[in-house]
Amino acid sequence: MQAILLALYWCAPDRIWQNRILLLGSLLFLFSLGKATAAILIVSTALEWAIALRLEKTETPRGRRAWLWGSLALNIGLLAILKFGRFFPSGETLFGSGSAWLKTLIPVGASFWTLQKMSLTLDVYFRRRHAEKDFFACLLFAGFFPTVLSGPIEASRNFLPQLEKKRAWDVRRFSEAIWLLALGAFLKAVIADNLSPVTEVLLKPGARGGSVLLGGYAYALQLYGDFAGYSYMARGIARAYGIDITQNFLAPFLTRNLSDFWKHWHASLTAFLNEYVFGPVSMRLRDRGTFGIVFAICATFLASGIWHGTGWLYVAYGGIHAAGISFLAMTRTWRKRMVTRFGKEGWYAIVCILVTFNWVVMSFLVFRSADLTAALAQLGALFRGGWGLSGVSVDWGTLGLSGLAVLWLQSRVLASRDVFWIFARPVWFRVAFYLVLGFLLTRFFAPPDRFIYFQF
Amino acid sequence: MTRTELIPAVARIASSVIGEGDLDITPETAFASVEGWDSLNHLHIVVGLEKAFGIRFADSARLQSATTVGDLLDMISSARKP
Repeated sequence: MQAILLALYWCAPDRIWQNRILLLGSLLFLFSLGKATAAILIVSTALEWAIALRLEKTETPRGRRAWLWGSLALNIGLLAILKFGRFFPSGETLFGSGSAWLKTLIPVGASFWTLQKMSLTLDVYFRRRHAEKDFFACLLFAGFFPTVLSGPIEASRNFLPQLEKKRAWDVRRFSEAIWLLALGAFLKAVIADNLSPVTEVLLKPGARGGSVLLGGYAYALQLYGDFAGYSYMARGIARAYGIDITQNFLAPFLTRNLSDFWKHWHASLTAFLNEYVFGPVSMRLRDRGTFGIVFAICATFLASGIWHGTGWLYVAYGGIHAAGISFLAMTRTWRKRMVTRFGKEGWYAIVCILVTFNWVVMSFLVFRSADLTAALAQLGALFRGGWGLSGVSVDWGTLGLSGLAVLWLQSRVLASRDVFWIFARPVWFRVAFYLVLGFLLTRFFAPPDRFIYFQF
Repeated sequence: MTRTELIPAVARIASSVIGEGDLDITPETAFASVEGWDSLNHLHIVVGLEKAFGIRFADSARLQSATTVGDLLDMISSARKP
């Protein structure tokens, strides 16, 4: 199916046909996910398109704000209705505990494409782009099949201009697409899916400190392999059609503070929240000094937590990051002095990387837990000790090799600040690397698990 | 003061906030292209500019949509007009 679509796309005579073929592919994909998903996405995109057009024609600041709030109410309201129910302590939804009908209505990937769709209005409000007149371009943007399930979350000002001219075939770009697909498949099928059973064993209920710590490391690698793998593949598929989408992952486990971590991990969500939550809130409170900054950080990570899921667990996940980044903001001057004294490299940098990584692992333990009670039990185990691993069957080979592979790949990305570092290497290296990837994929291909982020 | 005359003052304030030595910026410089010009430092730079020039950036939508040094220069010029 993909091959036919790709062949038709590159045979298309002009941009209009290219866009139609992409839209057709996206609609077929959407309907394959379910009629409810397709219907809600199409109807809500139509409303967003109409709001953006009306907003552009409105001159007065008050009127423009009214349309903006209309869009926010529409999108946040839709997500809230579909997702918020489980906030109640009983675990019931807004529609009662027996809401099987609601489950069938919850659109796949709604958290992702709702934010993406919102940028149609937000970009017009902040005068970053004119309102798109072509509804089908907006529909393609919102439902673009490589990104509709789990992002990256794209801004309309980056995506829509690409539809305004014919995409020309380019061998280099197609090679980059292949690289992203190969790398993504490796991260998902070899790293993440092989680590899944390792994590399960280490983090079983009642696990002691050592097991939880090691399990946290294993889960961090697994989650990275799963989500970065998906993001690379999504970007690779888009690139095969000549469409550029945001780089979602760089080298998150080698960053020196939490603020940098979020520029390397799920960067598209970070950019969105930075632009539309932290930016406006912190600017509005800029006369309030540290209080204003900490308030804006908490608001941003509260939004991030709630975006991830419907429960106090995700509020706690956001809270851990809010606490860490607030600490960074409050110690800004002190940290500058430390860098001046000890330099950017060397042992101080290593300590910063280790502290950041372990803080992130702690948050991932919460993220992975079934509920807040289970999360607190696992975090408690970390502080109660029990560091021995006797009686725990650890697959050291899978864990160690996965860790080394991920760290090596991230160090390459960090060194060149680009995932396409391989294209700067000689041809023999590239060929050898692809052969190794191919071997690892065939030899260690694990039974595929569902992508973790599909639940959002 | 013209836009060109404002640049050294903006560069000085941004450099002191980011702490990376003297910044070489032009009106075309995008914030995203300057290492260390992140959202938190941007906030400190905006506050620093308001203090240094004795102004207030009142248009929040315009403040939010600024992406280059040139946008900041325009906003300073507008805010300084009597």
